[in-house]
Amino acid sequence: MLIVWLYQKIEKGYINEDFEQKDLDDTIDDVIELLKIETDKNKEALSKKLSSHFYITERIGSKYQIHLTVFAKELCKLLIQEVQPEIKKLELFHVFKRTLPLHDDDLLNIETFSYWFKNHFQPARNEIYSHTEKLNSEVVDRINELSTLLKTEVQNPKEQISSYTEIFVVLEKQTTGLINTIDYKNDTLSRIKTAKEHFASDEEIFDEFTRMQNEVENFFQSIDRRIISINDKIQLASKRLRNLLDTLKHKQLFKIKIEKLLFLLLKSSRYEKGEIKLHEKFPKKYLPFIPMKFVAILKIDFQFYSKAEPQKQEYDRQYEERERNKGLALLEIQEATAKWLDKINYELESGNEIEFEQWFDKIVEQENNLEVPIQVCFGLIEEHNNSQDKTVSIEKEEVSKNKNDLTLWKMRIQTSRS
Amino acid sequence: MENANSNFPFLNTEQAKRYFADADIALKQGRHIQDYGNDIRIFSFVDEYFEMGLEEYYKQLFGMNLVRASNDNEKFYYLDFPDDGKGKLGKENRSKELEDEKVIFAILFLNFYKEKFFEQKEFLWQELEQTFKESEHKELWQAILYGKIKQNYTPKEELDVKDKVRKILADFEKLGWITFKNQEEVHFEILPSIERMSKLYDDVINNVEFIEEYLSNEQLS
Repeated sequence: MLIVWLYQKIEKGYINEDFEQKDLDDTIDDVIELLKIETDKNKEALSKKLSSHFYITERIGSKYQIHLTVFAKELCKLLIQEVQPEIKKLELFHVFKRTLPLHDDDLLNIETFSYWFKNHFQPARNEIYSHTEKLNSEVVDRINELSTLLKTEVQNPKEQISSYTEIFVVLEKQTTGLINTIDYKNDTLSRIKTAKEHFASDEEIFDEFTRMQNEVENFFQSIDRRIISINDKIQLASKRLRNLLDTLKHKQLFKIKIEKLLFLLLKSSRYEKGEIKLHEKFPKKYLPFIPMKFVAILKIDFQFYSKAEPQKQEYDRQYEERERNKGLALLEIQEATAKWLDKINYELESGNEIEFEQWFDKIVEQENNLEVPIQVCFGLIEEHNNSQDKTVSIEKEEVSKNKNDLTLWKMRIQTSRS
Repeated sequence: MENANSNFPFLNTEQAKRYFADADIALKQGRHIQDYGNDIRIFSFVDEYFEMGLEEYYKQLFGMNLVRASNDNEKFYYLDFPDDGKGKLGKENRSKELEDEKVIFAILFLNFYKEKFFEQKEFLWQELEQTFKESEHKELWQAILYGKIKQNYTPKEELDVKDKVRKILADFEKLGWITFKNQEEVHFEILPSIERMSKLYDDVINNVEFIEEYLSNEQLS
């Protein structure tokens, strides 16, 4: 506030650009009074705090002179522009008329074009943006105010509508002014585009030229959109305003009744299993509705079949090796069993008696595997137990073996004489 | 064949061949046809032949009123039951009740429409949320939408309510009362035909004081 106050005083010529300590003290007093600050402010501390960024004190002879920094001045300009949204009536049109159009001299070379871009286009662009933003907020504020016209307590609605109509006429003029200003865009853009070849000889210059051209083009597109949107809002509101007078009273009352009904519905409804339920006595209304049903035989399309391939099995080589070895061991046992059965049967056929416990020892010794004599034993019993010419006799006399901690019964097979 | 449609000569026209079926199906499904979006062709057909036999066609053959109404100088058409019944659409499965939650939301949108008398009628989900959470009647809204009044709702609760509103809006779009700008984001525009709600509930709106008394007596008893 203090800095803005100082800036305003300088702008209006009340104090010099290089002012004195007394001017600063007086301005602090002004601000204290304006803001009605009752606590005693330490001017020196305040001055120290602000001096680091906002002003510079210089000693000239025996006097101290103070001036605002460039940063402080720019900040004040921005603040003033924002807090005083004063729409200059159509002044902008003339500003733009002078600044936006391109002259032949401006396109002589990259330096003159850059000069136009920096000193004419860029300031004008910021001014137009700020102007459209203010115009937009002005329009939105006025439209919000218009809603009050639909309330029944409005006094002299006809008079109010007339005053709003006047406001909107002014706003319409503002927009038209802006639209006219932007009319320069076609001329400006086509001049820039035509001059493009002139800058094409040097790549660096061409890039610089293209960058500026794009910025100008983007600006025109963006401002076009903003102004069209503002204009739409104004046109719609103005049209409605003109129609409002005839039906104002009815609209006001009807709107109030709808609001009441909505409140009544909300008040009398309840939440039940995730659904909204109105009061049971609230009148039900119906709408015509013939659902369209398409009865047709279900079409089964066999064209689509699952293309999923069976999942590949995980291959466990160690397990496979173990199973293979198991199988081989079993095969060896079977081979050995068959060999020993053949031998024993040959002995039997030769008329010899078989005392199995002796063969048992022999088999164990040669095969080094208990499974073989056991399988041979089973094989002999199976083969000869029901045989006509062989007799298997088992005596429950235990025969102990030293090896393998084994005990056998005596088993004898012999050929019976018929 | 020349005499086939002699009672309703409009049915012999080239436009009828092109647009009658679509217009007829739309009307019988409760749609409000207006000069907007995909309806512009059937709107111009109905608008052209309304007085040239189309209105009479529905009256004679279906006992229904084809109504021409307008809101903000925008015309729209819809089928309505006659005063003394439901015409040929009185049979089962030829009409449907406007469900409770749709009544509340349709009245809300009608109110929105009237409120934005001077502005475009486009709305975003954020504006609806504002109504549910910051308006004068926020607690009543929360009670019927979420089933409980809390400071904050879980993301699931929020999502459920948004889905519910989106579903209601989708049904309103079929009726021609709104049009989605972006269905996923719940960005929509309320169309002039929302005025049908004020016609449908005309008796209730104009007697809202009596209805209030009637309902509060019911609540007491």
